[in-house]
Amino acid sequence: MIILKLLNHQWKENVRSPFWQKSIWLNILLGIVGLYLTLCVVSLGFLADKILSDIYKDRNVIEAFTGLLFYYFSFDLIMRFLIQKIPVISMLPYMTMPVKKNTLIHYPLLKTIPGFFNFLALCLILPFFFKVVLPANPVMWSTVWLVTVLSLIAVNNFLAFTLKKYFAKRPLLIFLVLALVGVAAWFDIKGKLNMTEWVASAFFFLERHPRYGVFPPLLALCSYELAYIMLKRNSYIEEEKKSASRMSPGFTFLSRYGEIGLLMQTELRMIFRNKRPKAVVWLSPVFMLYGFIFYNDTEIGKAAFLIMAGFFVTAAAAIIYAQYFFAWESSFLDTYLANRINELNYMKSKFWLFFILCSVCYILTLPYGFFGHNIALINLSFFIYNVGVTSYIYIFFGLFSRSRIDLGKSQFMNYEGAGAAQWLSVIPIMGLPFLIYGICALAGNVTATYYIVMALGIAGIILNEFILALLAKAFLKNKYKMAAAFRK
Amino acid sequence: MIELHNLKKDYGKKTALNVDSLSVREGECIGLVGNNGAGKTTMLSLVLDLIKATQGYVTSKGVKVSGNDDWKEYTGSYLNEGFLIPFLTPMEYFEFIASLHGMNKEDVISFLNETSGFFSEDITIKKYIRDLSAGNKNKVGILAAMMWQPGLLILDEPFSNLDPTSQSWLKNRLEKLNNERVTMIISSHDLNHISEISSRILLLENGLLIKDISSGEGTLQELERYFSVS
Repeated sequence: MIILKLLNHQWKENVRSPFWQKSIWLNILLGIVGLYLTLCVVSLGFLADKILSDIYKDRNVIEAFTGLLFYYFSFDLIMRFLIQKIPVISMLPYMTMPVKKNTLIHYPLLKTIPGFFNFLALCLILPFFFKVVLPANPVMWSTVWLVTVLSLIAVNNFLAFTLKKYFAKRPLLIFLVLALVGVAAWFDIKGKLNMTEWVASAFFFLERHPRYGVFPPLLALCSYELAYIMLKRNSYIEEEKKSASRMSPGFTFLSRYGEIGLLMQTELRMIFRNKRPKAVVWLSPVFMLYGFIFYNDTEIGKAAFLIMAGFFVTAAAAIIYAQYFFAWESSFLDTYLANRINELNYMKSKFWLFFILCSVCYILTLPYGFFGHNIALINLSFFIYNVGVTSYIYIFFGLFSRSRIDLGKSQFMNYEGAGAAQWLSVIPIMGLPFLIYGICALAGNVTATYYIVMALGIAGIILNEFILALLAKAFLKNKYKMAAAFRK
Repeated sequence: MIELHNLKKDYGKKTALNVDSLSVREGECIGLVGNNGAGKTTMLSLVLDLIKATQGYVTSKGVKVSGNDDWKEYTGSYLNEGFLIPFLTPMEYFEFIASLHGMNKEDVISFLNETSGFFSEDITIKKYIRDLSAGNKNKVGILAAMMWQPGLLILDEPFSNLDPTSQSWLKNRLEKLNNERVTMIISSHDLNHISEISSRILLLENGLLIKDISSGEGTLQELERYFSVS
């Protein structure tokens, strides 16, 4: 059976993936995180009836749960759209072999069934079904309910691929969907539009008339067929035509600023012309939203949170980008080594890039100042601290990067480039501000933290040349090991 | 010009290169031949200070290459794709390399016009290097290495992936450079080309230098005899 062979190859692909060969500790950590998330979702499913009867005192629990599935499936679809990959690339080696093309298309589609999102949905729905729905209703009724829910999961699973294909060039459209769901939710909460009730009554209609219960599975089949047609139409290797107009910005103005400008220009081009670094930078606004969670409540007791928020908010982009300093350049570091590039200038280009990313974050998060002058002070001091201290720490730990990054891969769940250096760097980077805070809190003056942090930042900026020269020396020492690891 | 002193490179227990002593004189064109795993790329990487020697050292114009950047002023090199910057267009890449060596955009353009016979597509093509074919990538790397007229040129298998026309263009170009007294170290699997352009052939086997002959009549036959399977 060819399908079995394909499954076997798939198994090998997963087991032999470089993803697992990284480090045993990273795998264990990921395993624990995964287990924790699963447990959270399962217990949410188990406790849903308690939670819902607390919120909706006058409503039937099953009705409320069913209605809320509307939001669950909306967000599920959006998340799938953003994260799920169209399973087409791995077909390439088989396309010239005597394997039926239909098999090659059915196979990757069916392969998506035991996926992460489906697992998540089952973890949520099955506990609720067995605990609440089944004991309270006739078997027929419950069966139709379950089949409908499972069909909708399947619809989402396959529809996401079709949508992804059609909206691939217009990814911003997803925000429109997001906005629509948001508006629906808003009206729902205000009681002007009873979305959840409509959905629930549509569900219950099916349960009351079980013969219509075949429609959801049919819908699932249709979504499968749609995805199948889409994949089949796209199962040829086509060279994507890249026209001149689609070229990303060249930052040509930077070449006026000597070698440092030239290196920054290349790095910025790298960021904006490759999938993964681009995703990292576009993701950073999410981190800037941290402020809304922590800055809202400015009790003194929460000062520790304020420090964390101040730190993240003013350097979001810089931090998530800089943790892979040098590793980003792993595919072409040899160019830099074989050509005449002054290592001090190289370090300076890193520093200035960090500075620019920090400044953008700082300016974008200036409005947090409206939460109080205290917040404005925190943001300013951490901005200065990040420029004058955090920057060097990241450059330093970047020198110990020992794993190559493939720039073209997606960012989600991608731990390429993550190694001991990235984990260790968290200790000084997060530890130092908290240590200062701890000392100040013991001394009874939390506000002093901000001034000390700011003073450290200023000292770091004054010592810029000196520190970068030290880093340049460290670079010369580390470059062989770094470059050797990157060539693999 | 280039001297190898008691040079040894180990990967784990395996010795990739072990050369007691070798001296490359100014203006020589060295052809480096040997089967896969013979140590050609290792040797070139050591000369370019890309890897650290287990033992011994390399000097260029009497100065150790490791810990000193002077040699970069006159050494042009292209070993493999790792030397290219995949997300730049060829033109942007040339400009990048050019400005590192004090050339301006006009110099780049006049160089590209002069070498237009080599690159089969329009060199100002709006395509990132990562989307080019293997042959064209190779050409971009070779051109960038020669562009700023370095006194020492180091190429690793420059003829691979090239179409016949480009191969003959490159051969002529390298001969011309050699006449201009540019020192060259070139590795190749193409015995014909390499024995034609080189003034001296080095044959590596399992990391050891087993032949060091000046090229002339009969060199090709000698090499063919060595590489033929009997």
